[in-house]
Amino acid sequence: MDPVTQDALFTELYNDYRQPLYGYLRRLVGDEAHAEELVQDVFVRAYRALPGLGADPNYRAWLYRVATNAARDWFRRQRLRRWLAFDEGEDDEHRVSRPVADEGSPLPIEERLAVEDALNALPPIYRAPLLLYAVQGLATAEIAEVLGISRSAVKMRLSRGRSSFQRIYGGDGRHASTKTLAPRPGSLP
Amino acid sequence: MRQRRHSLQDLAAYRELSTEQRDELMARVPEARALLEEYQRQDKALSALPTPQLSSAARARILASTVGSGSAQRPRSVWAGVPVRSWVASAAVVLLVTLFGVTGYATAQSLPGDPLYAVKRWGEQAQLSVRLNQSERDAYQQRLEERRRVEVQTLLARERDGVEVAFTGTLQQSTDGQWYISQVPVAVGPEQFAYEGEYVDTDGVTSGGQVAVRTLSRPEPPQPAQPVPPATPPRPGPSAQPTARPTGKPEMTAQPTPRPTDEPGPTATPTSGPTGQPGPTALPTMGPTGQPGPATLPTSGPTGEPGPTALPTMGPTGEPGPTALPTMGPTTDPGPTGEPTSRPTTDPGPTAQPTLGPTTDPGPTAGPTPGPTGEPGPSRPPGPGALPPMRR
Repeated sequence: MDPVTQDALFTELYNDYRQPLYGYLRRLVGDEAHAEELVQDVFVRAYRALPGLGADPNYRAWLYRVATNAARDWFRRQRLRRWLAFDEGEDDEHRVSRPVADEGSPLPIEERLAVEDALNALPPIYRAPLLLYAVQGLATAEIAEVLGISRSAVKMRLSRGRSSFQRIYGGDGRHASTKTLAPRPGSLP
Repeated sequence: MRQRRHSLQDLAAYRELSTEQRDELMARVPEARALLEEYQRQDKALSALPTPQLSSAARARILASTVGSGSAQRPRSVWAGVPVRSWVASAAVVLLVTLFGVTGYATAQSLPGDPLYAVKRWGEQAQLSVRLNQSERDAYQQRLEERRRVEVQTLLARERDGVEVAFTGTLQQSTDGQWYISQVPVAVGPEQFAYEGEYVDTDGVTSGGQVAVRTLSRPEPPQPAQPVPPATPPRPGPSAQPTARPTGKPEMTAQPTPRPTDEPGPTATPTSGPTGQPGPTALPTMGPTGQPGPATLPTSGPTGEPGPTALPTMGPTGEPGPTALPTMGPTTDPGPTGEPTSRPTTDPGPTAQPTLGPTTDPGPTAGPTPGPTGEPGPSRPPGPGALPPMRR
């Protein structure tokens, strides 16, 4: 792949996926600044890896996979940082995250916060497939490619994630908590 | 039950179910309809969340670190376009390992004067420093000393002259007069001072198939009970050691060695006392300043009584040294006749103790002075050339 083609293809992918990828990472890690760093890392990795991609790849699944791997590395670093910090207070402070700014959301603010709370309370192992399916609109086959697991495993995680989300969020759409939490610590598959 | 669980898992991805599949699932699982409605409500709430907007600064950073760097000006690696495969990395690793291996081997095989020799010595010192146990340190130190001697012998075998070497070993002399330090031929100058059989620390320069000794010192022996290795060219007997004969006519020459090996002269007989038992050996000393070695007289007879032999003395300056007391006790126990001993003693031994002066020209007056029985003879002052010929 010559540099001109590489730049053109990358520009197209960047324009199509920069916002979805940022939204995915923002919901996944729960932190705006870290999500920006991660999405930058994702596109730099993608730009370097473009010439080595095979013929006719699924660019969307590939980009989400790169993003998921970047988030997985970030979670690992966070775990190590928490382990090294010996400071629970610092950890709790970092767990509190600002909600995403309301930019024309059709949801009322209370319900939006409740949804975000429920989403952030999910372990990343369930949060990632739910985000990819419900928010990003990926099919289970693509999610399986992104996460590197089978389709049945994706469905199983989706089912468990929905059950957990339902318990936290509530079947009637109302949630008691108004505190926005950062995503639960955990690890991605 | 299992089929029901699978059906509910399929329902979690309800978008991928056809209408017929949904209907069939709802007909089969009673709670499927409620769950489907719940899942649809979840998806509606999740998809209604505001989309986070990537900041313009982040967008600028991304573009600057990718296409923004400019494809024309972007520094591309020299390997760009080259299909770098795993075999390249493997070859690099193999090359690296080979390089380290070859370098390590070359370092281990290096000799004094080689560029890598300093690395070798540094590595040895490092290995020595990590040995905390004293016995291990001593054992390793002995191995290093043996290694030094092997290096010098290798240098001599390759006829590499002019290389500075330093090693330790036992000073010995062959029958043809050649001096050795633990089987390494050396040329000892008249200014050197040591006894045969002594453990000496040497440094010198390789020259003409032997080591021209520059300095000779006596380090502490590494092991108190370290056996003295025999000389390389074994002597036919104690002939190289001037001894006093029981006949009362000891023959002593300033040249302790140049006797034919197959024809040991009369002085080749070991020192013997009146009982005919051979006594211990005599040690030639080489006084660096012409002073005879005063206190390193070997003892011979257990009785310590003086024998009838005469002690040849050769003072370097013509002055008889205090050791010029040839005593030969009536020993009843044979001494270590074949082995030189360097054990110093304050007791004047009965054997003849030739002391070698620094001069190189053995004078004709350097003959031994026979003394009366038990009495040190009026040892004649040796001539100015009372030195053993040290072949270089």
